[in-house]
Amino acid sequence: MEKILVIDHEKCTGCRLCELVCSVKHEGVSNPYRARIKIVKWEMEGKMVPVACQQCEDAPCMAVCPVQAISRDEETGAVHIDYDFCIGCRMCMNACPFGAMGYDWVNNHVIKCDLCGGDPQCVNFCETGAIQYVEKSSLNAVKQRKSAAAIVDVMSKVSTAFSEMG
Amino acid sequence: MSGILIIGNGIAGTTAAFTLRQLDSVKKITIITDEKYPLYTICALPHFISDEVEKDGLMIKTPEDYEQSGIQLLTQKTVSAIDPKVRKAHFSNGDNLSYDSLVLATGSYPLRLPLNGVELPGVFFLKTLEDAKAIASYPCKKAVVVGSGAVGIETALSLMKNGVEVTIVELLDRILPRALDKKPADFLSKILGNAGIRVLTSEKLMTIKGDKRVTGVTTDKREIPCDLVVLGAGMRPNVSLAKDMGCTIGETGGIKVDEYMKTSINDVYACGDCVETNDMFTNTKTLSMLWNNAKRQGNVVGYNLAGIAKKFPGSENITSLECLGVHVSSFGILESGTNGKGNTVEIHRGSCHIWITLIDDRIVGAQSIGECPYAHALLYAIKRKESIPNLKTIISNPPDISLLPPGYIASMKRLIEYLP
Amino acid sequence: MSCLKSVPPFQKWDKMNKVIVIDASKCTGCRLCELVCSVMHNGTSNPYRSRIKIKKFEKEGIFLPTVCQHCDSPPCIDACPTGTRFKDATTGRTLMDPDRCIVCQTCTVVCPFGGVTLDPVEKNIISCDLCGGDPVCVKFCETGALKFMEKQKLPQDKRLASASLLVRKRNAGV
Repeated sequence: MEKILVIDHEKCTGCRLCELVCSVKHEGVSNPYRARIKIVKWEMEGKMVPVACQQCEDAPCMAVCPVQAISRDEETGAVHIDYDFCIGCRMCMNACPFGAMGYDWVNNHVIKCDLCGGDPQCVNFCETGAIQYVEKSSLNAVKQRKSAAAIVDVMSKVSTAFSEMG
Repeated sequence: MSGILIIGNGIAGTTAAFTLRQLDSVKKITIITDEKYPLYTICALPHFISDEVEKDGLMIKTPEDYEQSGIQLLTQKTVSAIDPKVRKAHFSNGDNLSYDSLVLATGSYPLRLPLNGVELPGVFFLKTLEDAKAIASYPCKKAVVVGSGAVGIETALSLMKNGVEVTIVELLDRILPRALDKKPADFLSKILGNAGIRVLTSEKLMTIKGDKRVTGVTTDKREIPCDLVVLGAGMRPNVSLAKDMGCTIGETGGIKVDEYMKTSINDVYACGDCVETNDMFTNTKTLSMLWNNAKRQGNVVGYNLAGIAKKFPGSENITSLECLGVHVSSFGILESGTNGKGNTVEIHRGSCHIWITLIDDRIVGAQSIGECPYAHALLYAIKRKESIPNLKTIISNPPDISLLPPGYIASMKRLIEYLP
Repeated sequence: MSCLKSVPPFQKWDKMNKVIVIDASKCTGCRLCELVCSVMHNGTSNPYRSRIKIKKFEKEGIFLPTVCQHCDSPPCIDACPTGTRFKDATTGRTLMDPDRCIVCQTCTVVCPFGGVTLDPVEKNIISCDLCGGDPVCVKFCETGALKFMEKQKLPQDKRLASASLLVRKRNAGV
């Protein structure tokens, strides 16, 4: 079953450890600018939003690539760049609505999240659990349970009220 | 550490060397060539003959480029044999050189027709700068060019520009037979004819006549007096070294390589005209023999030598040349190459003429004569295997070619929809 | 504050690694970019001689600026058989040496964007050269469909935009 990263930005503290481990994993250096996941911060309001590739089902980056260098990885289900085909036109960077397609100016090519081949490091190191690696079929599981519990809570109060009314 | 030995100084071998050097500043790199020049472009040799390009304009690398990159270029040396077991290359003068990794970039040689008179003065092949110099300096008034590939056509045009009366003799029923179907080829033949070049198709060269020098040729239909003959009847991959050392040779005659350009022998790579690769359009084995393919193969070899796995995605059959101010281009599959499954849609608009080959409703090839502003769109539509659902509309109505094929529009639309 | 003297001057990425970024959703098809490009390069106002071209899909209402992308692995350089097209190491631009060109037009065929074209007057190959570092088309584009920025800045802007959208929507929901 294919899994993707699910981010709850309410839990993000902006520690940026995910950026550091991502750059270490992929580039061998601790440099947040070379990470595939980026945190957008509003320090004054205390809002931290991690932005990562959504591995879109109908990926704009895949549609726009003139040489069909972007495809779906069979194992992880991630949207994958084949650098042997890539001509470096950066159309994919333009097409991504999230800005998740980044640019490595050291090696002069586009970079994106590859789910670390199935064991995403950002998930391993996120202390608050803001990033989770979740199966696509159960993306909403937590939210469903939470809202279901709230409904059950309300229903039980209503039925108690009715039974008291007689 | 013996280093990397590259046999061949063409675009494939040179690109392999310079790519490797960009990625690895330590490894010893040696290029061997039997010519005396650093890398030059053979594609502009016809233009050198007509003085449109000077010798300096042909040179792509200078000796200083090799020195600055720490690449040793050994010129005028011929490799006679290679012993892969002890990793040694033997030269014709008795020297030898050891290597850690070997790159065979031995290129191709012109096909020698087994005819009488081939050895006469005035009969030339056009493969090297020396050939071009010889042709340019040979006094002649009438010339016969045998073969009508891109080299033959461009040579004929160059000679015509030099004031020579030129006849092209082509064995098959059309010129540029590997690039054009009959209708576009005949269209081009007319353009050449109007400029004074006589084009003879479905005609076979039988003998070359002359005593101390060429005085004419005899075909299966007529005698043609001339004082210069250029034989452009095809190229064959140079695989004798590869064969002798035990490399597997493919069914097309080129050295068999995997997608990393590795031969059947460990630490021996091959790239350029001498290899057999996969054609991206037809998905069959082919001899690529085009500059574009050779360069990209050399790049792949450079990466793999540096320890970075890179694959060669496949060869592209793209022809593009300029004939008397008219642009001729061809890519993909010809209708004559579809085994009857394909059909052609013609689009004529002003000075632009396009023949699109379709199988069912998929574009598989295109040929254009004249300024075609959408040749690139057609090439990429072929690569993406686009279909044209409105085939009937295109055939019946004079199509407005300012509208690109619908598949291209669809993908462009998505680009815009997805932009935030 | 004498200690500030030892601080090295701020390195400006001037003209380095900058490219024209296209936002086609903002393009109105006015074609002013084509006019100023040809004036800049040829001294005449002739859109056919422009290095940037607007592809119009009038029925769909889509206007798509197409121009040389200064690709990082340019197909035009791979395809050029005479070494005419090359990468400028300092600025990262794809440029050409006109003396070598034999006008075979292989570059115009392999460019996916139609960024390399034949000038109809001079009959030579032309493509965007970023006007030497200050592209006029960007300066004259009134809607901001064309922007000149460092390659790595584009995703930064998009991330900010999409993250702001998420935060705004989340706030509205809560």
